[in-house]
Amino acid sequence: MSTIDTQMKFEELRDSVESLVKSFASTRFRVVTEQKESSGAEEHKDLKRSIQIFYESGSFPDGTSSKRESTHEITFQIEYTATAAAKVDLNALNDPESTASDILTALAASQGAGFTANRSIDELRRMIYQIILDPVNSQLGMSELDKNGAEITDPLVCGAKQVSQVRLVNFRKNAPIARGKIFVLTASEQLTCQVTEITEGATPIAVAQPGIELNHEFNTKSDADDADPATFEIDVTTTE
Amino acid sequence: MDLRKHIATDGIRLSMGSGFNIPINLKYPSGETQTGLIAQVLYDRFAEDPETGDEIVIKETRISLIKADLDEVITAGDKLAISYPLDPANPTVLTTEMMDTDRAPIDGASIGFITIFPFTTEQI
Repeated sequence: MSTIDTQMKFEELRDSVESLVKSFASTRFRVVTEQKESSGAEEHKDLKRSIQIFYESGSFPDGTSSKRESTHEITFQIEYTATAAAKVDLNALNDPESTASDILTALAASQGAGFTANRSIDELRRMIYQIILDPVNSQLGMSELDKNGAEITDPLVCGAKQVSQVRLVNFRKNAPIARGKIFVLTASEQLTCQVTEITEGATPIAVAQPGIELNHEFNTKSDADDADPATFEIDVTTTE
Repeated sequence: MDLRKHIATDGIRLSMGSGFNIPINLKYPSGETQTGLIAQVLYDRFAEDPETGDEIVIKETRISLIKADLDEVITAGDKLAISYPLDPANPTVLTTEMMDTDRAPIDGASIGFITIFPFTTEQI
């Protein structure tokens, strides 16, 4: 396979980050790993919150065509979404035996959806921080490499790191979306890091090697010379 | 005839009679309950998606009440519970939801109605 068809380091890292975050998600949150178009609030209703994480941008500040290795500064975009409903003691409100005092107490203790959604986003941010910046996950799920460039599977053995400068930056909550009967709150953040990409180039797709000209002479046999006139035969003579 | 008074009571009642005659109950922040109210309920509305220009349906319930019918004054930020049918074809099954405390009711002193926005509500 040509090296143009093999994955670069950032693609391996993308898959690794997705797996890492998904392994902690369980029922805590939902993970979306592609850039989605706008989604309906109902989509987030049951599980309440989700994160979208995808490779957003990258640059090669020291990359030139004269170097075989270059640093890839990578940015993953993380989009947080949480939806919330208002909360109240519905049992107290719907009980025909409830007194005015019971109802007053239930209403006073109710929580607005905005409060719940804000707390939900804060919790989600805490989880992502604890996952991404945990020293155990400093390689974002990638393995360290031995002297020969092979992956080290033994967690007690140290090797060369593939990922460096892992940072979470620019966390920002967006304005709440006032649509419908569900409160939707979103936030965004960037995960930045560095990997080393190796430029191995690509092999052009060609039948013959460059620099050699091949001449093909096609001679069709007439049916008179052909042993089996039902088939169509061609003699090919190739010369350099 | 006081036209303003007529519009604020009988006029609104008449305008709400054509298919929008939904029974609701209110539970005020004081703890008092008011039953047997009649309201105009709009369950959703069409809007234009600002990003794509597509027409979308916003599931946003609006309940309009005659202010003169209310036992207590409703103001923005009130913790008010509303019991109303989620399905207008089945008006006897009432669901209790809280008024959206982040959104002020729409009301006007001259016309005499108030529009409130119930919010999806879960057990605490």
